[in-house]
Amino acid sequence: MDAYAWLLMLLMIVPVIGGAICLGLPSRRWIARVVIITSILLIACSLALFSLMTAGDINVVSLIASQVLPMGELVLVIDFALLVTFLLLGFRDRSWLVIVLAVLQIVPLAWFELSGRSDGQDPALMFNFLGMVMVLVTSIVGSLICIYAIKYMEHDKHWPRFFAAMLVFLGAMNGAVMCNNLVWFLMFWEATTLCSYLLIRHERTAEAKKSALRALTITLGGGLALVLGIILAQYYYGSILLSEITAGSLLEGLALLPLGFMALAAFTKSAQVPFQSWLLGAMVAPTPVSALLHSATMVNLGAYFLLRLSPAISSVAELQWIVGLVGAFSFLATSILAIGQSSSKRVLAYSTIGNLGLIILCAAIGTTEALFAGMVLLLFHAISKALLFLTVGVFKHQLGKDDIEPMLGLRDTSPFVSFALLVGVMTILLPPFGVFVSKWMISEVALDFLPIAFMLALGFGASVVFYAKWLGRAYAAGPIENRRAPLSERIDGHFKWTLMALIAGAVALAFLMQQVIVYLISPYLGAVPNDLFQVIGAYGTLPMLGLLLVVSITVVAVTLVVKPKAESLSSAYTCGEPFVFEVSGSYYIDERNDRRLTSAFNYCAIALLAALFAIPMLIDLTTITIYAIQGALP
Amino acid sequence: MTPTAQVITSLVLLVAAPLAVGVLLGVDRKLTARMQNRVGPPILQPFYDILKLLGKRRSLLNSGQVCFAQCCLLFQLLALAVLVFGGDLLVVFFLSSAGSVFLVLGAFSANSPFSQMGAQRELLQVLAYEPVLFIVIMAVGFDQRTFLAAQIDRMLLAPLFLAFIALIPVLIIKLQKSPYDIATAHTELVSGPHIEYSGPYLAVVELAHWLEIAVLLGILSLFWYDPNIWVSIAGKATLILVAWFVVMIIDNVTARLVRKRMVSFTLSFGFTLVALNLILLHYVLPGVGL
Repeated sequence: MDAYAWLLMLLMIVPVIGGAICLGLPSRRWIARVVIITSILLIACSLALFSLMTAGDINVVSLIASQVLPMGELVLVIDFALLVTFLLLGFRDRSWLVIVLAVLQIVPLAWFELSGRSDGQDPALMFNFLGMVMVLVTSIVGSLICIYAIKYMEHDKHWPRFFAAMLVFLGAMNGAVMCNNLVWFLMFWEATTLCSYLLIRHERTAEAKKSALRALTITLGGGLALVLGIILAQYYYGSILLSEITAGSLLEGLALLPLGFMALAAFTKSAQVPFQSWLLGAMVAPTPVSALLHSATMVNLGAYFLLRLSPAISSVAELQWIVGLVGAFSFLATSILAIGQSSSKRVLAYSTIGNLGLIILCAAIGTTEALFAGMVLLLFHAISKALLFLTVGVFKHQLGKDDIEPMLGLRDTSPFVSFALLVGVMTILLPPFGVFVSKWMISEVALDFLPIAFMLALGFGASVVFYAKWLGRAYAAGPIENRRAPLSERIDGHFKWTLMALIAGAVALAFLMQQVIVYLISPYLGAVPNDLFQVIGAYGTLPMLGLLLVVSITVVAVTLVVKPKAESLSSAYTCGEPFVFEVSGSYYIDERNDRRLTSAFNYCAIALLAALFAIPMLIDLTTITIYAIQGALP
Repeated sequence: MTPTAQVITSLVLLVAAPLAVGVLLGVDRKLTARMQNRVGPPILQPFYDILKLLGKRRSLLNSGQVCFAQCCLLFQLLALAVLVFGGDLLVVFFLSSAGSVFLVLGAFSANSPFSQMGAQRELLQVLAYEPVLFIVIMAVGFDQRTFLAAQIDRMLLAPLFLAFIALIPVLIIKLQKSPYDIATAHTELVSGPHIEYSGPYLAVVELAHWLEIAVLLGILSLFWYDPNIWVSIAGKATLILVAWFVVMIIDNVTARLVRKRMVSFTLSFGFTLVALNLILLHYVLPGVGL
């Protein structure tokens, strides 16, 4: 094994070992140390791998199964152990659905493995720069979230199992994005399902148990779709290697079914409409868990899987349209629903689903520009979303709630938290930051998919509304007693430094956009642009760096120059009356309409998913009929 | 044109466009007054207003309010700059949209009921006009196969006539005219998002508004193109004046609508027209050999 292979193994194994150690440690102080050491090791490994591969000019690292000694035969054992665990969990929670879903996976998988159809398919691991983006996000953002959790969970009684699940989650994610063999991929996929179940259930309240069970049911359904996809892929394509499927030429008819099942699996993992309920329910978990699920792990895996499958999906017009529509529709639906939410965590959850929908849209379109937009969005969304969740977490840690209404006047009571919120919203919404660049590119590529452009139009408008509304609430001057309150209690170091790191990352990477493209994104896309302009050059140019400099210098200068003197401060106009008032926010969509809208959106999405499977069958039927007619004719 | 001449032209446009908007606003006030049998202010009144405001004593509620106002001005200026330098229309759209976000944040940051309600209403206006503006820009891109303003070298008015009509409600909202003067509703909200600005800071917000209008008028002017530069300029000017005049007439014969009606009407009207236009352009016209 060379250095690359060792680093890949470490990225998988270090967090798992760290998690295992946490389970055995009685003292909190030691668990905190183990978590910090694991996090540092993980960050170091991911950066080392990135530097090594960049310096060595290597774009892909492939490993065959026999090279990966510690793993080899373990995969199947772990896979079945996980499925049996799900089965047992189903019995414990008395959920027949979970039991049925687990059995439905165990039986076909056992048949598939015992018949030896999956043997000797190599390279089992294939790590490219799409995986690199994921590994960097998981390892760095994920580690920061773990460090943050040390403070956030200070009153929790079950540290060992909490941190064990958090760390193993990171290892499973890192493992998943290295796999080329789909059976290996399945193992890591199921491991993330188990970790998310454990973390959502962590607080053991009735609500937590219910949400965890729902998440388990939906993602297990996705696991079943993946198993079926793998078996059908072997049948139709003769291979269960991602690299072989994606290299596939034009597919038609029933041969589209494996891709349909895999797309379905990805939709459940990324919580696309109509599967969004599990991610919304997952909000009962502690905030670091939400941050982990939404930015560093879990939901990204579905989007990543579709980006990997993009060459195959985008080569078939029917699949391309349906998958693209599911993504775009999820973006539209969640952007509208988010306007009506009064809980900041739910707003963020809808925004996550929407942004992943955009990535999935990019994967479906599949041109170089589209993949570029998808990868940029994957990276920058993760950073900004982690920042936003952790910011809400600080607020929740102080006040015990995450509603938007009590955030009135946060600017006065907690300048640091409101600043973090400002940076988070600006980097996820406004130019010239990273998410904007990908929105721009998505709009450019949507030119060939005009019905989708209408969805984007409304979605972009709605996302401005719900983010500006929330930020406005935090930046509004609060009630008078708020303003007289002493400026914020001291923010704990764990909170402060993780938030600072994310703020710095979100802003600095926007400045380094060109380097990000050259060193991180173009190695995967194959094109090596000289500068940013060539990538965007097909449509238009903009000196992004210049724009960034102008904006930031002005903003900094203005904040330095504007120091109001006491005599120039006035008070607001209230028709001369000394009345005290408090404005409440507007949410426009009441609960009844929210339910109605949600079910309407769900039905639309279910129709799309039905089309995903009906169309390949119909095509096949038509082809058969045409052949039959041609055969009958002389 | 040589590159230097182009840069100089663009810079001149960057300065001239907001000034022209100021004059147009003056004419607008004069004409509206005449329609209502009043004498009305001098045509240059908007400039006198700005100059007067700039000379006033500084007075503010908090520093955030001022920062947001200045960011609003900055982003509208950047949007106009990208447009006059022939840049990407989508970037113009996103930059101008960022300007609106900062205007809303500035309004939120004042603890006045009028200002807060104005901000909420301004957001609804954003929800009403931004999707339409975006989809019209997409239609332009679809027709021209480029989003670069500088590369548009055909007449857009004929193929995209319906899309042009879809921009009229957008112009009504941006000009704060009836029936869509929802946010600044002078009879109840006393100029909404602008209410808590005074003196030089009000001038900043006003200038940002001029620039915002200039950006939209710039996009409108792209619909006319002629190889002869003078014909082109005359055509663009006529197009803008006609659109503005239509808006003024609508302003004088309608009363303010409720918020919900504004959002649903603007979106359905705009989306339907643009969709019809695109269907015509993509399917029908090539079918009949046009």
